[in-house]
Amino acid sequence: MMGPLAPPIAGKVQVRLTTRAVVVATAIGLAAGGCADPGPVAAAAVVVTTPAPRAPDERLPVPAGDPVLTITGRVERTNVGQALRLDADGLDALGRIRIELYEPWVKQRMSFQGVWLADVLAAAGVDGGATGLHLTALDNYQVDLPIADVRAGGVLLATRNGDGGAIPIAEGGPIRIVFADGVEAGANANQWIWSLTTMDVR
Amino acid sequence: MTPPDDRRGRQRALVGAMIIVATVGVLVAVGLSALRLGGITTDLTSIRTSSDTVASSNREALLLEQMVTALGETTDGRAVAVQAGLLQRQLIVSAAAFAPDAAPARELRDVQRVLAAFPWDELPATGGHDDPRRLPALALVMGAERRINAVRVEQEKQFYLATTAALEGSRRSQLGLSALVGLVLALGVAGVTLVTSRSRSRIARAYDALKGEVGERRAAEDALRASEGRFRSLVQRASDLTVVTDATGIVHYVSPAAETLLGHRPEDLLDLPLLVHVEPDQRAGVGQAIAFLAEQPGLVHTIELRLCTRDGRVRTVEAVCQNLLADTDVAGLVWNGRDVTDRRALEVELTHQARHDPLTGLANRVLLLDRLRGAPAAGTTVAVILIDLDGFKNVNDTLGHPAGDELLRSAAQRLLGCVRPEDTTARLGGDEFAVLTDGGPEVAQTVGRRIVEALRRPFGVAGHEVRIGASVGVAHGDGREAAEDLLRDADIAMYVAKNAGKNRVEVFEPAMRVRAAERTGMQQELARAVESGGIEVHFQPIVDLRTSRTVSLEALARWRGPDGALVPADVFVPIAEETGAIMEIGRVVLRQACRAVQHWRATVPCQRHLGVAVNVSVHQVLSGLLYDDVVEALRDSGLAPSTLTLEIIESTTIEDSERVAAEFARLQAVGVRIAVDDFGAGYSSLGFLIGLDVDTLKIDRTILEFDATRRGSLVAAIAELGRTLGLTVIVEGVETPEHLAWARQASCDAAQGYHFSPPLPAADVPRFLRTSGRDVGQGGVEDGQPVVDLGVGSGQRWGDAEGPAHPG
Repeated sequence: MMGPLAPPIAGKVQVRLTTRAVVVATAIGLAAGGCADPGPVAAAAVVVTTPAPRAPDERLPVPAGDPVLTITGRVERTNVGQALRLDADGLDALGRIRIELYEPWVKQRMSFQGVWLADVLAAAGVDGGATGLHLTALDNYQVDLPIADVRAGGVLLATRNGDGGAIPIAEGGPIRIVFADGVEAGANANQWIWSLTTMDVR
Repeated sequence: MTPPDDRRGRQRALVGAMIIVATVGVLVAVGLSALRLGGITTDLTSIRTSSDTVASSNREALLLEQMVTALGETTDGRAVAVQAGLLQRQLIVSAAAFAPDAAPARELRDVQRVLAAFPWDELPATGGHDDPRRLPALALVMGAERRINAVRVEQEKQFYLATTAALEGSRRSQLGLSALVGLVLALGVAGVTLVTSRSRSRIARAYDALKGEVGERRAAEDALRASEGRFRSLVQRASDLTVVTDATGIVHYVSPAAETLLGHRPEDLLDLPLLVHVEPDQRAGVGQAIAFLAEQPGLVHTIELRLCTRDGRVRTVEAVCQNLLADTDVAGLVWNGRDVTDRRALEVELTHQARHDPLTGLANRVLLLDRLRGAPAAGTTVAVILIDLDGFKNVNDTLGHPAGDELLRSAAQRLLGCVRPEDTTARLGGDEFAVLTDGGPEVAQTVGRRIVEALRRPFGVAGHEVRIGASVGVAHGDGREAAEDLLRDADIAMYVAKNAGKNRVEVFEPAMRVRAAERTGMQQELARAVESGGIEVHFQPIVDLRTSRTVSLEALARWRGPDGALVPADVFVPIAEETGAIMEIGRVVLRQACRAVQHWRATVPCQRHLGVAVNVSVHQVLSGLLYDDVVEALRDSGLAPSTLTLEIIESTTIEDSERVAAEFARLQAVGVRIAVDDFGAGYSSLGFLIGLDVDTLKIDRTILEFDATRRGSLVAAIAELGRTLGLTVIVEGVETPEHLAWARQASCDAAQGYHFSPPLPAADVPRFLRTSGRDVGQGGVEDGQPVVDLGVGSGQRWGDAEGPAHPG
């Protein structure tokens, strides 16, 4: 005889228990089982500027402008007290790539410029024993991102829009985390934190 | 006869066919309803998702509303701009949760566009409460919030209607399933009974097979139940209340939110009238609304219900009620209610804030003027008492804004202690307060005096003891004056009180209005004089009491008015302080005095060691510009730093000020000396002397006047104090030989006063310098050097231009 019948499950439902909202991840429309293949991701990205030359252990300079990102916790190359603070120029100095991807919140293809988050971690001198990033946004939305996901590739710290202009707060700026198409960690739209301000390395 | 085997085979085939029919029937029924439920679940989840993103937008909008409301008090413009950005982002995301051309998406995008058009980043970072852009911003964000909330209410309503329909639908499909299963079973049993009454074993076997089917069916039913549980859990998560009543208001269904909202278990509410839980005052009205609604099929009606909770509190619930009596799925009135108690409280709070000062909780200017306008109707005389704090700015400058705020709150409390409960006490802004009373002229003056006394007592602020004062103006009216005029008259009287020496009450008289106009004219003329070089510097000699030589000159600002006559400093300095011209006057005097004294040192015989003393105000010190001004004046004139003494009047408000001390330490580090001026005139404080580490103490003229009956004992005591602290002591106001004798007896180092010379115009100074030693002195002059070293401990305090700088 046939096996027991279960009603079809109505899509993967995720509840974002914060100031933001609930998301239906199925709406993202990612290819099922898509995985972070660095090949296509790298191929989709275009280099805009190369990183400013820097000695391997050279500290990043103290920001002259308003800091947009503060990295705390298990980082070695701090520049202000126990933290590494970066302003817009400091982020630009890490080099920029441009990439087009599907943004699951506005449900559109969009272009961003920015730096791979893995490169930011390398420049900050993240402690080898660190396993996760605790990210906090301007509206105090918080999310945890495993460092393994970042190292798998395709996680971009977007600092500018596709044309190289600043991202307004109304569009999730000044900086936000976006994921290249097909990157597994990005399948959960809740990981797409916008208006990011601090990153605690744990 | 059919062989037993054939019969057995037929029976087996029959039973098998029946089992197949039953199985297929059950599976089709289960499958259909499951598919249907699955579809509904997807729809519901989608509605729920979009509804939740809209709810997030609504929260962001409320947050922005609160921030704009508090702009300038607790929130700065930058934070508001950030919040406006976050709200817009949430709106864009919410709109994207709907189909692009759906009505909610269009509405949300439109709200976002309206918000994007406002220059949020131009809102001021501080002092924004009075900014003219604040009210438009508030109106804009309140409008946006209302529109977002309307979308939200509509979404939630659809969600609950869909939920209700789905629950009903699932109940009916379950009924259908049971009927089908029952029919198949009945047929099967009847068939088996017909086919064989002998072959019990076969029946038993068929029954066993059927039992297996029943197990399948149960599993399917469990799955259904689980699916139903999903709806329940969705409704249970919702904080909003859903109630279905019949046409008479009897409750047939209540969502679990009833428990959190009202404290009642949902089942306790069933089969009872909804009106039981409505606040008694509102019952008649709600009853009529139900009757009206029940007669209008399909009508949607919004009503604000005040529901009583189990523990006796009242919650305000905004309910959207729809007549679905004709809908066979529902057959009732559906109430979707949301708890708006906190929101209503916020609205009341906003209305309160618009008419009150958020810092002190007192009325603000709007409410005061409203009451003032309303007063004539009562047909009584009214009085406005205007209070301006003296010395408040010093507290703000030296201890910081939080301390200033604390002081304002304490002052507000003391004001409330001075008035009757029916009087209106308001903060008009800054350090200005007003009291509106109808107690008549005598009462107003008594209240005014009580206020002055109350505010004179020391305040404890941020761990410091702080003293301020108050100037009070009173204006009376009989209800015929415009409210604004009465307030302005009180303001004029208050200024008269301030200029007459503060800590006093003045009652408005029409003549004051003329003087106030004069004063305004004087402010404008003074501003012109500062620009056009109309400020002169006069010099009063300071004489060494042991050598009788002039060792230094105190530079004093003089204003030659438009009519050519000199305006006394005590007339124009308060005006200059009020308008801020004092800063520029201080700079002019500093520069002119340094130049003139350096010139005399070079050109007048025996004056190589002449010093100069220049007065500075606390505001100059705290402006942060004094150091640069001093360095520039020294560079410009070529005067040695150790020749210059800055005199500061002992502050009566702040006993120790780290910023003043730090500024003076910077100046002392380059060699400039610091003197405390008018010591003994105000609230003398040893802490002030020690905290600032000054070089010189100048004893106020009033001490000598006071000493007329004490034969100089007070001067002697203060001079002794100065010496103990290692300071050079100068006594001011020496006008008679007797004063001079006391000063000598007290062993003061130097003296100043009309006995030696009045302040002299610059042109008269060289002549005085050439003759002074011989005119006044009994002491001699040796090689142009003072006989007595005025410096205490090291170096020469006066006129040692080439000597070492201050050792500290």
